[in-house]
Amino acid sequence: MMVENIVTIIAIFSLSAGALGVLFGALGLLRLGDVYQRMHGAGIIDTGGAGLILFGLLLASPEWTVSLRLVLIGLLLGLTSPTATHAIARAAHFAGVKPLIKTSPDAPIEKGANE
Amino acid sequence: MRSVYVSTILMFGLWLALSGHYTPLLLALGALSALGVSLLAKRMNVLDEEGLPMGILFRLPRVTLWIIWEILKSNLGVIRVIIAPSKAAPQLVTVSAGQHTAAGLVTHANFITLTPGTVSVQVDEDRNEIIVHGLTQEFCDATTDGSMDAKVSLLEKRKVSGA
Repeated sequence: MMVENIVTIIAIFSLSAGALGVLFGALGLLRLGDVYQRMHGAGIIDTGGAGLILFGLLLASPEWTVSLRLVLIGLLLGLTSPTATHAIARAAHFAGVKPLIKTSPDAPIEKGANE
Repeated sequence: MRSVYVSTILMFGLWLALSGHYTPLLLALGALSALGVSLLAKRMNVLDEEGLPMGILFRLPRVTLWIIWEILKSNLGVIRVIIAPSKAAPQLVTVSAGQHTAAGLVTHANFITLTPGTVSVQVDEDRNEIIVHGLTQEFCDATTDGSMDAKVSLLEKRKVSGA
């Protein structure tokens, strides 16, 4: 009984942290400067956010078949989401979108050269 | 032929996990389907080092905990920047990759993108370089210091000298 309670509490914390992560990721999409920076915000959503939510669901899952499916979803996300993010970044790079660059802490933020 | 066996076992395992039917007839049909698909894939020449990078696949557990820890750490870093966007000091840096197979290079680039704060923008297979967009100086330094490069190289089979 005790162990079950502890697992449930960890699951609740993990789900809440994941939800917060998704919230911050969405905030990042709105607040950050240019397309490349916004991608880092989206990165939180599909790593920390989705990961913690999946981990919470894993702890709360009633059957091993459900757990196994959650693990498979996690693996699939870990493989596909960076690939998709890279595809967007690469497309922006080759389309000539110049990233905002700030080389030193005091320097102003400015459009950088696109190598 | 080894790739056919491995792919059959992996696919039959996946089928077992997802189907939920455990009568002899359906089990046999599932195994036959897995074998048939593997043989077709072999015939199409997609079961090579790129289509089924067995070495990297089986050594992946070695770095799983490390990558999860890195992801959690850099998630907090990016959240800090999102709270105060003026802290952002984005840069493009070039990371040299020590991998000698295409699958290894892709794994390295994917790991860089998987940790928030760094996104691989371009992968140069000829020069073994990855151009990375980092959100702040710290994220760039963490990528260029070679620790991730070393971890990904652990996944690869050691290069046979002269090959």
